[in-house]
Amino acid sequence: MRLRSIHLQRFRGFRAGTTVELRDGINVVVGDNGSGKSSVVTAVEWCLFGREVESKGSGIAEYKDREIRHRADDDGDTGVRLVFDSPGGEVTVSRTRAAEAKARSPDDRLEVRDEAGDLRSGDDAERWLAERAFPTWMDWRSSHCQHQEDARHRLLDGASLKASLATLLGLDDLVDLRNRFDAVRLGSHVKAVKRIEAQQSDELLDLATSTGPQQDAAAACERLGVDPQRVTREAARGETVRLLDAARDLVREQGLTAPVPDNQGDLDEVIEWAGGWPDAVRSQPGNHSRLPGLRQESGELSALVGEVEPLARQVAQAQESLRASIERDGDSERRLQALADAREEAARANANRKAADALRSLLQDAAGVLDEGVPDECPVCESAVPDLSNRVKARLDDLSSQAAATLDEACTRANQAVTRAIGQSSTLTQVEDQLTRARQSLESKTRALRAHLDGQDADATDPLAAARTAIETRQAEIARLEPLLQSRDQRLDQHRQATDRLVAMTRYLDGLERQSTRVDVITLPAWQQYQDGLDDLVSLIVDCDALASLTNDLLGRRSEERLSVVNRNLGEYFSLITGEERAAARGLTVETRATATRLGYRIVDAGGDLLLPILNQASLNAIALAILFAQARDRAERGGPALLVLDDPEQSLDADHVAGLAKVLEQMTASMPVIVALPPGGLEERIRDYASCPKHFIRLNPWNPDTGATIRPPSIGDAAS
Amino acid sequence: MDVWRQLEDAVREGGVRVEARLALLESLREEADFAQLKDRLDRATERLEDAAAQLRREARGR
Repeated sequence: MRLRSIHLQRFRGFRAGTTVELRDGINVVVGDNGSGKSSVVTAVEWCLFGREVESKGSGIAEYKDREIRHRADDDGDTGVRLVFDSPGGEVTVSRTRAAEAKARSPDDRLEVRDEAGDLRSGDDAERWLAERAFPTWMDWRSSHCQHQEDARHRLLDGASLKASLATLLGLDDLVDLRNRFDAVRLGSHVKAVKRIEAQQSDELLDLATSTGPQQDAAAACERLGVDPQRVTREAARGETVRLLDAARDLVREQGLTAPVPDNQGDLDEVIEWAGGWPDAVRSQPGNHSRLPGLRQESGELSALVGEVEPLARQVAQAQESLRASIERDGDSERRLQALADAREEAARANANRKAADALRSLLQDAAGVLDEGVPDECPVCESAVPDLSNRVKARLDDLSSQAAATLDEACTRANQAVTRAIGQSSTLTQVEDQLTRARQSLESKTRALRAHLDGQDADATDPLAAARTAIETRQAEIARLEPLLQSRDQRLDQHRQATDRLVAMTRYLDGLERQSTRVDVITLPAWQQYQDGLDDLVSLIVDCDALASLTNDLLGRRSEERLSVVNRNLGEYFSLITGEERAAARGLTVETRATATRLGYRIVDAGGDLLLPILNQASLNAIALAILFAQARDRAERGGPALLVLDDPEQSLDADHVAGLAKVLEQMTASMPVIVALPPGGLEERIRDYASCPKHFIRLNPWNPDTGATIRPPSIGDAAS
Repeated sequence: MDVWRQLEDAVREGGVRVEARLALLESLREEADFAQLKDRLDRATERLEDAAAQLRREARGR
């Protein structure tokens, strides 16, 4: 089946109905930029694939969302009709978009009229095209048509290159099938099965095979002094009751509010409570919390008592000294009187002594005068006094001996008495001062002591006694509370041990029950349901995985079968385009690498290294074209409508490459008609001047906004060879 | 050769669960059938989850 003509109606640049007649050999659509030559290529694509061209693009970024309808003509339908020559007659494929339809309209009308003249539309038409091996959109892109920019992209994009090579190797259907298996995501279901089995194992199945936990629980019981043979539910309940009773005793004794469950509580809940209860108890104040305060108060009171007691003794001693001093030397009044008397006596004694001294002095003067004058005559009155001189001397002698000594002695005694009286008075004052100071110190400390006493004790007549009593009271309370605190810690330790025993017993009992459960589990109806579900799912997964593996095996086998042919074709076209020597030097080869689940392909050079990364644009274009030609020829050999469409394929190619490309196109016309859109010159001239195959030129006029894209009448030079 | 036919032959050559795998293969001819296969796998997984949960419930009840 060969494409004979393309009819365009209000399609892109073409306004009025335009028919592009095609012939065997090379059909060259020639035009300047914007003249509409690419629209001719796109028209074929749109007619066959409709919205695929618009929504998915034709591989070139700027072709996405391309407008199909001619903007100037919005009052008529847009359409493309392809006419094919078939051995049985003419086949027409047409696609029409109503004038009122929106862009990318799902209402495009696809119609096929077969060789017998039967008309099919919509899905029927799609099915007919598929049955007659018309290309799919993917086939079209890989084996029939190439936009040059798209070619480079498909080589440089890893996924696109793999897809192209898969197509080249004829693996499309298998790759598609394998991708569909991948999309099922078997791995996630395998994980789900493992997860479910692991969960079951944790909860049930390990009981059937493992006695480790049971043995651990038995060992724990023995370590805690519990005979595993005697562990029963009743024993565990008894342990629980004892633990709870002990806890309540402790709460009561310690004056706590930490809650304790009742004896009928759930065992697991009791164990959970018991684990955290010691911390709860320790965090509560309780009775023993008064201990620090009591110890401090007792210590402070003892210290104050220790200070007050010696002061009180000092006061008592001072009082006794005062009393003894008064008793011995009288009180202060008496001592003052004694001092006054002593002073008076001393004054008299001194006066007597002075008088005696004055008399003696007078007598000495008189004796001197008498010695110098008349011994018995008074020197004052000059009267004669018998024995006057002797009598004066005798008197003077008396005064100088006994009388003087007596007077001196009296003075000394009197002065000593004064000194003694002064000393006695001073001593009494000192004793009184000592007593005063001792009393002041005692009062100060006593006030401090009272301040530390509570209530009536603070006003007690004897604060020292009250303090001693208070100390005794506190010491007694301390003596009572200290064992309580020690007892709390001991009993909490006992509580912890009891909890450990209870946990071990419970685990042991649970293990015993699970042992009996594991025997029962396999007799449950749900066991069989679970096993059936497991079998169903695992079988399905295994079967799917097996089919996916078989698909991969087929991929490997088919690629092996086709690899040599593909490489030969690819090498041949690449050599034609780039020249024999350069191609040979490159050693262009498609290489496959198979793993258990994947088949990879890549293009390597003669040394087995990746080739594409080192190539220039021209070589990349040449490889892209070589792949297309190889695929197109392969597809043509497998039957179905044959057609090769190229849009401006000479980009980046130098004159030698262009000449090579012209040769390949000429060769391709042996298998299929070729449509190639070109600007004037270059490849167009090469084909025109050198190609020996049938060739047909459709020349487009320069773009005219009034008439749109139009075809120039054929000239003599364009006549088919 | 048609890929489906090749796979059928490969399944027969394998000789393992041939009937089940041929039936599965037959059910996967269309692209939409793979979506149904995914649903089938999802449902089978859910059933297994439910059966496992039921088994655990019954076992705990013992």
